[in-house]
Amino acid sequence: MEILGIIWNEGIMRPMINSLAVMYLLLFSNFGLAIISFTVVVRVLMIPLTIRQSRQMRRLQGLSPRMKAIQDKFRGKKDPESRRAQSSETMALYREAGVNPIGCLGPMILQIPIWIGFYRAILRTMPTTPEGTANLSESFYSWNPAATLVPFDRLFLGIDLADTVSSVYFPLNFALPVLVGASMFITTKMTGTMGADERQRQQQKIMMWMMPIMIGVFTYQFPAGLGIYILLSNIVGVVIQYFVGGRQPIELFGRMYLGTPETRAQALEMAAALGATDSADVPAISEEEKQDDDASDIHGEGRSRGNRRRSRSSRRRTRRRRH
Amino acid sequence: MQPMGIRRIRSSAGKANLNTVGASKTSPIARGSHARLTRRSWRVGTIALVVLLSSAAMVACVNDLTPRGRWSQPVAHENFIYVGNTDGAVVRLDSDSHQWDANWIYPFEFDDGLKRAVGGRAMYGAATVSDGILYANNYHCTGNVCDANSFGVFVESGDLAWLTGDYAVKTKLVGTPVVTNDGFLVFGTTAIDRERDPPGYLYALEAASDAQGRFAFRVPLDGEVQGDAAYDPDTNMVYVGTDAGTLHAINMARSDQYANAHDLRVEWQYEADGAIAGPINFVNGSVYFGDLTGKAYKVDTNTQTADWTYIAPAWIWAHPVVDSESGRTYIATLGGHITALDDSTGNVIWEQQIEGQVVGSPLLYTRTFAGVDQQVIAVPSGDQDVYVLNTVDGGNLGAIATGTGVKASPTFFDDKLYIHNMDDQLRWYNASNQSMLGCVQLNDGGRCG
Repeated sequence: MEILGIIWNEGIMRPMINSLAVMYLLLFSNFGLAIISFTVVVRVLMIPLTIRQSRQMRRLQGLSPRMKAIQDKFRGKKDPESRRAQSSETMALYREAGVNPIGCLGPMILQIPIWIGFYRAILRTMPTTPEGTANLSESFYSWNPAATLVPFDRLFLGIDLADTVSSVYFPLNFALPVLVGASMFITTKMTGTMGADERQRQQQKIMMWMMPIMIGVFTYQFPAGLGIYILLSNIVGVVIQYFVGGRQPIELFGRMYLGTPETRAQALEMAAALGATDSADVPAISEEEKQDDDASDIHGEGRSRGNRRRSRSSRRRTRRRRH
Repeated sequence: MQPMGIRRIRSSAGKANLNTVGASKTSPIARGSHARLTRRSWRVGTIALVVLLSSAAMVACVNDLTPRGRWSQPVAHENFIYVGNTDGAVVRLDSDSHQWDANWIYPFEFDDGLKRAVGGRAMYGAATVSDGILYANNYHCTGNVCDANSFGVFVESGDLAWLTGDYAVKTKLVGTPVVTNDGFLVFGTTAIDRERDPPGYLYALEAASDAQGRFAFRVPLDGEVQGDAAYDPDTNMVYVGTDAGTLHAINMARSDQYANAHDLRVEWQYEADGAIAGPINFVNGSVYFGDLTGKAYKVDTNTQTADWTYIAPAWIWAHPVVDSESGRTYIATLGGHITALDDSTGNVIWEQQIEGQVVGSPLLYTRTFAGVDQQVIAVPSGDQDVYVLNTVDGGNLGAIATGTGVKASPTFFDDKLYIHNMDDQLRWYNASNQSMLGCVQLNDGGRCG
């Protein structure tokens, strides 16, 4: 456990605390601005992860109709033989499309320590206990000139960033949790995949509502600095996801927002395909999706560089044809 | 883990290759399988590491937000040692028999007819005893909403003299309270309502038992106060430092001239380079303190200017310790650096380094070793042990094993050293040979060590 502590402190906490402190120094000794700029930098640095996650999600989404077909095929068959067959057909489908269902979670899981690290970095740079202040001395690099500015000014727009959101002045004390919940809802909508069957979709819908509500309620008791960070992180995340995800439209309460005519049409097509019960209607996976270069990361076998290049040029050709 | 039939061999060039047993060339299938397995184990390993790190971080997070105290220095008065425990209660021990006094504890609740500390509060400062009453502060916070108590307890009986009642101090009270000549109990506070009020105050309460701790006045300050204030009884002045980096000299006279303007009590200020987080020390007309830029100051209260400053390699929390007889001042930092300075010039005499941060102020005392009196300085390490250094050259005379870190200043009484450690134990040691004589757990009085 000691080695984990060292990795955590030296690899995540200290760099974050020092970066945050340097930004405070550069941004007119304003901790609010430091949080905002640091959030943007962190989200931008994580774009490669977001791209990877987005690709996996899209591919998984593209498989939904065929997944549904497999489920329909084995509906009502509960014997071990059928279950095995269903499982192997599902796996074969994943393999064929170069999708790893757990692979979608990978980037998300990798982001968790960054979020937690940032959350803790904010709390540690604005200590609320005497031991917190004393321990902060161990977090700064000796060269960091911002260390002499401790304690950092915690007021931003009249809000004490270390105070709980519930203690912030009206109406911001209620507005912040609502905005956090709403932005979280949009983020979940953009990154979520639709399950193959109705039951799965219902569960996902519940989760899609529950998570933002829960986070919104929790935010009420979070430090205001963290609330601002989550809100901003979600907003920046939505913007990045929108562009990284190929300008997919955002569907909210039955209406579609943003997106290009092509992506809107694709989304409608997908929704229609999911609604179809006959597996024969289900469109096959496009050659483009099959040959996506990331598939080789999951399968690893027999995919040469030449193939990847061909696959990329084929995708470019397809895009040109569409335009 | 490797697939069956595959073994790792080292080529003559020193590079690792994968070969199938009995095959002269590496099989592409074997290579692919191995690569897949390696990637999978990397992925599983990474995810496991991330989950472990996240869990550890969440646990540590809770610790960051909870004030725990255990910085309270033991106080010797008559035949008892008084100390604030991790529950935020003051308990006492007979200094002769070292018996825990189960009937003397405050704040308390009855549990099966026995007094038991009411938990959930933190006490960082030491208790102060004056005119038969012991005064102390404690506080607790839920999130950033805090509630502090200041109280007086009769030393003799352990009965409550008064508890803050006619006003509420919704903040953190960290420092040790001071009783002035005019009967005020004085302490600094952190912000009460950061968005509306000044960031800190110096509070004065009526200390006498018949006054019931009545609020007397408060002086607005430019920053939070986390350390102890120092008092000069000759001039009736209190010196207090804030995290805005200002030392305030405040007149504590009971006078009508301040009736509606207590900010006029601030007679002068001295601006330090960084935040003053630790306690202030007043000795022979000079004020000594350190700041969070690592600078130590000796400020003459007559001229209100610095006689000297000393730049240490790390932040300073503990107050400088002054030995008037030898004319030396000792500075300890959060980086574990100890420096002896010439008190008149501020020049360095010797330097020493110990493990861990020094939060509690070091203690000067004279011990008898091999029949010879020897002046030493005991430096509490937040990491582990109390280091005993020779004041002549800073030589390390050995460490007192305390079991865990110490952030409270040690106390010397009756040829014994009393040390309150971070496990909330009070340990006492033979001051001459540093051997441990006993240990008591401060939350329940159980023996330890």
